[in-house]
Amino acid sequence: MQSVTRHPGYYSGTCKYIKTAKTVHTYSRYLILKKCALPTFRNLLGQRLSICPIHASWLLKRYSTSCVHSSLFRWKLQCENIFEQCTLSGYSHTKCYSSSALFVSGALGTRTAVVDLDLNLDKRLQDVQELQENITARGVDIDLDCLKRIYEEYCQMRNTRIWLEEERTKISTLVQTLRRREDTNEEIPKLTERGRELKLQYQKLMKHWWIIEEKMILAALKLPNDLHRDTPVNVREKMVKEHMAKPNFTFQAKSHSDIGQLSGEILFSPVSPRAYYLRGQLALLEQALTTYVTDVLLQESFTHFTCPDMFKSVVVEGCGFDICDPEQVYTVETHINMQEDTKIDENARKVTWDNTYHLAGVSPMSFAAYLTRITLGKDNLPLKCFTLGRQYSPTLDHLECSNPGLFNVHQRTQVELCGFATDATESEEVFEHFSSIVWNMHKNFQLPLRLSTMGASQLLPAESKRAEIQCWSTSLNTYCKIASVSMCSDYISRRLMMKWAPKSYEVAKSNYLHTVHACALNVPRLIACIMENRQKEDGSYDIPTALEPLMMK
Amino acid sequence: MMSLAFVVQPTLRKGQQTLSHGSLSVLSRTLLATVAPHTYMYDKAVPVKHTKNVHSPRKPLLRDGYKSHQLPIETLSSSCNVYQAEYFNSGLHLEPPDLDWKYLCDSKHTEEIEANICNRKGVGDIRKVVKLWEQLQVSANVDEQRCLKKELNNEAVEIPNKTHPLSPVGDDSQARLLEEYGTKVEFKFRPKSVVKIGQDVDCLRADLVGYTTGPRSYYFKNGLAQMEQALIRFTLKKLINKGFELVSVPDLIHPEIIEACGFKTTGDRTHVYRLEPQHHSNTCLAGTSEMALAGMFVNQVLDYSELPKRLAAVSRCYRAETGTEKDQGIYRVHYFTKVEMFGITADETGKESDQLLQEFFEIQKEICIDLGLHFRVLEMPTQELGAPAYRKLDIEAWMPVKTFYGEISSTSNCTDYQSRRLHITYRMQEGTTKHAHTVNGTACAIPRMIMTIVENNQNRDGSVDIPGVLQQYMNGNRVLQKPDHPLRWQWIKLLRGKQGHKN
Repeated sequence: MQSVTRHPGYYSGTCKYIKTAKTVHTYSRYLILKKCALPTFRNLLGQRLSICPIHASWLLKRYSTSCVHSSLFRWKLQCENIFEQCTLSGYSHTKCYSSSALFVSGALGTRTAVVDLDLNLDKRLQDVQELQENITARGVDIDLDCLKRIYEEYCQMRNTRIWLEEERTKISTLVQTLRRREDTNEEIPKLTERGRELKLQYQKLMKHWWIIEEKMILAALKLPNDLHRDTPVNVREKMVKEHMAKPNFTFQAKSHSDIGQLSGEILFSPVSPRAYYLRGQLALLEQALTTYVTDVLLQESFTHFTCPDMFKSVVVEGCGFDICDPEQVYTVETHINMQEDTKIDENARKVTWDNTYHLAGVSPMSFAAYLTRITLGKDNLPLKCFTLGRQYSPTLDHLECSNPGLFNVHQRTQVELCGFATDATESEEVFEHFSSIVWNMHKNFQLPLRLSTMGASQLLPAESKRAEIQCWSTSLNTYCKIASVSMCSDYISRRLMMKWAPKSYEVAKSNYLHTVHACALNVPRLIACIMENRQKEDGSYDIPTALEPLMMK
Repeated sequence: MMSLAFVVQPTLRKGQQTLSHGSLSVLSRTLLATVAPHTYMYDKAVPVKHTKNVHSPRKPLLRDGYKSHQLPIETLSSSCNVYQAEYFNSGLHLEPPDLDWKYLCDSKHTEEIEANICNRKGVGDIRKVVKLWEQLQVSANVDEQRCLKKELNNEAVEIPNKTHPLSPVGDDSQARLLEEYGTKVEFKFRPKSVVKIGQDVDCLRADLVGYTTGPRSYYFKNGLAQMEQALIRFTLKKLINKGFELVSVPDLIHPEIIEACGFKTTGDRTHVYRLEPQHHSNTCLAGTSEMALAGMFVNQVLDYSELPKRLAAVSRCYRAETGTEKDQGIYRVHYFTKVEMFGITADETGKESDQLLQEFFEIQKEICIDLGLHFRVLEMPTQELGAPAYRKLDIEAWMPVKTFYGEISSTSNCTDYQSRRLHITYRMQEGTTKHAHTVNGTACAIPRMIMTIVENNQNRDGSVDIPGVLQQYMNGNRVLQKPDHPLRWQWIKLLRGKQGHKN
């Protein structure tokens, strides 16, 4: 067990503890107060300024009602870096908001967890070698050795904790039984003394426990999913199959934005970042595409869903996104003052992860939010569902093009598929099923397509494998992703307690669902591809024959 | 910008204290006092300042290559008013509103305007406007003029639209019943709510989703998800047949556009969601596609021959409803899909927009009749108009479970209120330009429509009859009933505390 330098005030209760921490940072605070009579605290946090989390939480407590939410983000990022130093130096940071919405330390009396995490660390940390290779292949930055060390310490503490708990229960039952007999047994005082001793030990242990537990779980939450055996390492992607050749135009081919803007069917507008309007035939094409895809999926007996568009941080983090990163997910400003009910207690008026919402629309979150903390009956599995709606994402793909037009937008109409299976084998079948549906659907649009399995470096943390359907774009001069199927195994379900049981009324133990997610239709990208690949010399384009009967006229 | 950097030093020892505890609390109070006025973002008294540093410089909003029909950016003084110069290098350029100054500032009209303001909820101060106007006329100082102009704009923008002579004066109890269609359904059993029916036939879930998606969220599944699509297709088909142009619109919109449409985006009572301003530029979530459709024509000069324009859009609508009522249903929700009608007309005879309003209204009635609803039509009174509407007609359908008439659709004529703020004009052949009129109307707001249909069409056995016109879009199904294999699930209770040994 690695020794941890403990602060002298360590065991004297949280209160004192924070006081100590305060004094340590008095100097920095003094400067903050003095110089930053600023357009505020907010800006201060915007700087690359490191403050002790305790100190920050102390400030935060006072400002969280008036302080703009975004400062929280910055601050959280700050804290994360400092957590380590703080824990090592023995400072309790349990009074702070954690950088994670999923994990809520038991030391925090004020917040309750939404889920119990089960990250399967016992198994995952057994073979560090494989995990290390995974991390290297993905190119993420995680100190596995450190995690392993904390984990071992945690395990030792866990054993002690279990032993202590058992011992205490034994003693208390013994004492109770003895007392019931009304023996004037001289053992009793001895036993109670022993019990008191153990209690003290237990309390001491727990103080340390919360710190180690939080540290370990925050680090473990960053671990990516295991790699699937099919996922290529060291290459960007591996092509599986192709459909149709790239078009050979006898005339100067135009980009979709030129075609659309000339005909007035696409209008790029300044009403918001990268906003666009589709008019005339293109608006009808959008409807035709969604109708087509919906019909196909209903025929394949998928369950049709209409889902909420905003999700709490718990779900977003559960799906493997970083809730602190504004480039991964949109966050909605919390309307604190809007709550007119004066009876709402103080906590409800603060910005916490629990009243923070993220706007994502149609995404893996749509279904994860539905199944969080739910046990499904085995007879419902494999469950295949889809949802049609708008997706909102601040993420932009890196495209080598000055005018990506509809290829890089923040809001789009999309169809998302999700499959739930009992185990890896079944999810393998679901994955194949999804891939073939999505591939055949796009083949019917008569476009030059390619199916590729993406390399480890391209995967999102939740994905163990991803197949992409890419279409040729003349304006980008490359193949560009228009649909994808991702295998997430039990990564998301372990974080969000999505389980199954042989019978739906049984309590599930640890049968976690295996999930497969797919983006089956990305309207703006597909429209762009149709326009570019099926364009004619006069600036018009052909609607794919499969869609013609669905165009409302 | 100052740059401060302190790193926590774990090696610091006890002795290195510089300040006592008492002075800290004094300092904290000082800090509180300095911070508070600046950080009150929602406070009504302080208008929201949009300055460039609010927007993260990392992400230019409009990349090269985006063509824009907007005018080049010119320098205007920085201002608190949302109508003035908002750039964020987004390319959105909105001049101060082009109000009817002649009408507003002529003291002859003051009393008439004041009476109108009084009839509608009393927002706006016309006397102040007139006073500022008079001050501006006599002012000689350029700086003072600029100041006055700004103030005048801020005040004048609050003045509501004129009111149609037919609109009854007063609050919602004064609404005038125009027509009534159908009759209340007589149930021989106790009708169930849409949530109950939905759960019974595995078509809706609204319970226990608050943990992950917040209050008032709901999932439609199977039959109801299909009914949603059916309603959209049915409505669109009707609108397209009637010569509407379908437009696919954005849902994320800059607040300037939303304000110009007559909706408040700041203040305690706003219904508009805003994205985190520091990270996602200054963007709001549209509450209706009317905002996006009006925004499509911002700063445009249309040709008289193009008018009237009839547009239709399907969009997701976001409303940060503030009411405290804790109803579980789908009547008042934070997000829903809606098919919207939007029109732009000329203002030559002054009757064009009223005619279009009538046209929209006939379409709304037709949709409700086709779906077999029992509904009534109301001429809305002055207090219910909001600032932009000149006239508003509502359709209220009978809700048998809550036993009341609930608004399912509404249409309003905004005359030139929006076009003066968004600078939408049209040009006659002789070259004169004039402000256009805008009209908007709900074609189909999905959750409320579904609630009305399901609750009115329920049968004793828990099934629901699907209206005839929707059947062709729902695979020919005539009834919604319990599926053969409903999704069975069970909520998991947490093991907190004891669970500590896991992971």
